[in-house]
Amino acid sequence: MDGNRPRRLTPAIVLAGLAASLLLALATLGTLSGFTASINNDTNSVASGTLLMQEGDGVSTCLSTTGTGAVIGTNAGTCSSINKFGGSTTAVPGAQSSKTITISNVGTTTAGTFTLTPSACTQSANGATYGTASDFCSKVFVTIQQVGATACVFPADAAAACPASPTSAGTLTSLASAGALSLGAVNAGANRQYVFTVKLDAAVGNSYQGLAASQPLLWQFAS
Amino acid sequence: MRGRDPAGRRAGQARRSPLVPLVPLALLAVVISTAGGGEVLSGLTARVTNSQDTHATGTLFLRSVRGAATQCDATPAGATIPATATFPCTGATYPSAVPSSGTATAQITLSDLGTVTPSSATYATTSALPIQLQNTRAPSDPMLVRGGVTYAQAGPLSGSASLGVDGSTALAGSVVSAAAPASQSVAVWFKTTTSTGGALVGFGNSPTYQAQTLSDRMLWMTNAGRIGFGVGLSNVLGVISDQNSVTGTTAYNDGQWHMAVGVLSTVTVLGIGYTRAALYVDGAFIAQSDKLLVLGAPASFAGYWHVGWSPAAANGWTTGSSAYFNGALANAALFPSALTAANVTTLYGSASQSAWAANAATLAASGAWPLGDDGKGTYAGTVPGLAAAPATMVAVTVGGSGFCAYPNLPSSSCPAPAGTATLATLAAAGSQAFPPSAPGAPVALTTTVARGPTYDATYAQRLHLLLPVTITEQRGGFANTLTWSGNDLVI
Repeated sequence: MDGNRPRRLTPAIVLAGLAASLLLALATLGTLSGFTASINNDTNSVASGTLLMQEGDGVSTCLSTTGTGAVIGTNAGTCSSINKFGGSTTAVPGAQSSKTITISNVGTTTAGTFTLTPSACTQSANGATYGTASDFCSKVFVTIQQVGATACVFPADAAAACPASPTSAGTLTSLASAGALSLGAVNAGANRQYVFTVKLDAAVGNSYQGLAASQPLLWQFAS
Repeated sequence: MRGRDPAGRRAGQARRSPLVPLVPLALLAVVISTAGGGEVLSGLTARVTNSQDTHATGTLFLRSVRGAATQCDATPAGATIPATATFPCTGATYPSAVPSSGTATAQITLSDLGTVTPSSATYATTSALPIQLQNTRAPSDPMLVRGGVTYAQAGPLSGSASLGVDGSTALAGSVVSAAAPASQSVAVWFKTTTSTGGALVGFGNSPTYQAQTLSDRMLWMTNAGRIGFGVGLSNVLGVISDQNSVTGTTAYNDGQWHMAVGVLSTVTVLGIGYTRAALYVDGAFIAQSDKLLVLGAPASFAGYWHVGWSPAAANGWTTGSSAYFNGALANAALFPSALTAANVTTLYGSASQSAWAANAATLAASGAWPLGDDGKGTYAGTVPGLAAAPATMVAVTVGGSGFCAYPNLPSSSCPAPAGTATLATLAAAGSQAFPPSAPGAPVALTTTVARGPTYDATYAQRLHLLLPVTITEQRGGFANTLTWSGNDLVI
């Protein structure tokens, strides 16, 4: 007797299993379930920040971006509309002029380093007649002062602000040889103001008439 | 359960760091950053290059124009501007003469042809002294010029020059009063085409053309061009009572240079004393005249030597000529002895100015006026006959529209010249400020002169004063100084 009972139960178990399997299959098709929960991740993205420099003098604005429209190109712009040395064409001995400019980090990334790198100063004629002096760049005194700072950027003095009147301690010639000037970090959205003051040596004479000095300057952010 | 962990790794397999995939990216960043010369240590950079940082100087070129004539211009002739700051000007800033009444004016216009506006301008007349003709043998006894003279004309010898005289107002007179010796020789070179004659050189008791009552020891040219020489003779009372003169027969008003020498001496012939007047022209003896010494000795009185003038007719002489000589004169010389014919030949044979000077020295000349001066030499001593310096006798103003540099009135035009502002006070005042010119805005500067209240019409008249003028406009070390060294004012 015991030997026959298991044999009678077997088809039932198989049928029950088939039924359960059918129910499970139907359940997974959602056709037979009343409660469901799900998460759909539709914004799985990675975006880079921007490091953008803007220079302005209250009249003109220059950007580092060189791309068309909103496109960032090489991010190395050229600014010819803001003349740090005043751009005078009729400077006279002892005459002094200042230019204040603002460098802004208009990107979204902090500039971990900020530098100003002067190029060589070159002398040329300012008109059809010009003086015979050949050291004009060394007769143009210059200071670079960060607004609000106690130190003088150039000629470098960590303990004191730049002199009110530039002296021979800082000339366009020595500025070129100073190399890259480290200006610290600039947070995203922050800016710095710098005052460039130039003065022609009061002692120069007629041989310095009609001369021009030119010196490109490179401002650079790096994250 | 033992064969794999929940992550599916087999047992014993090393756990890989989640940063491993970033290593190649980091290496790439390093390569990129170092490729830029090491300036940037980050993949993100932003640069702005300022390409127009310039500073240039202007120019200051001052020009002076009088009438239509440009007197000086600091604009360089070529492309380069020299360090030179001083620029000599031609012409004058003063009128040529002070009128006997009223005023005379002269105006110059200063223009700034550069790009710089000067910050200051100054004017100065640096001295106001009579113009002299040097005496190379007795420097303290030069001659002062008066009237219509022209300086540094062509001379008779190599390296020499001459003084032009106009035949109506020109003369030059020595400044030291001294008596002429009894034996004396006087020489002079002359060139003329005049037909009115005139005195070449002579001695008189006045330093100037007025107030002379005694004329003596003269070389003159007659209206016919002949040369005469005469001396005054004094009687026992010392009064000039006679003349001893001689005149040649050849005309020398041929436009060529000639040398005349008059020799005064006392000679004894057969025990009888004579006053002898001998004449040489171009080294050759022409004629001589002897007069008994007992009837008159060579006159002796204190006086001055003149060239170009002697009032012979007014002083009792019959020279057949006018008082003034019209022509050119050079190398007037005095010798305190009677030159011999050989001496005269030697002098005439001087091949050059330096040879003439050497021969004059050898013959012990007591005075030698080359007369080739350029009109830039001045006399700082006392002018004979004048109680004060002649510069004190001329009133002057220098100014323009709305300003007066002298007397210095910064915001009003000059008043009429008055006695308080004279050439002497102007010279002593030094630099006087006035509004500078500017590019496109020239400044006219007018000099006005008039006789002052102390003007001496006898002894100051027709004197020439040299009035060097300096005008500077500058802006710091950019400066132009214009100089006039030839301001010659006849007062």
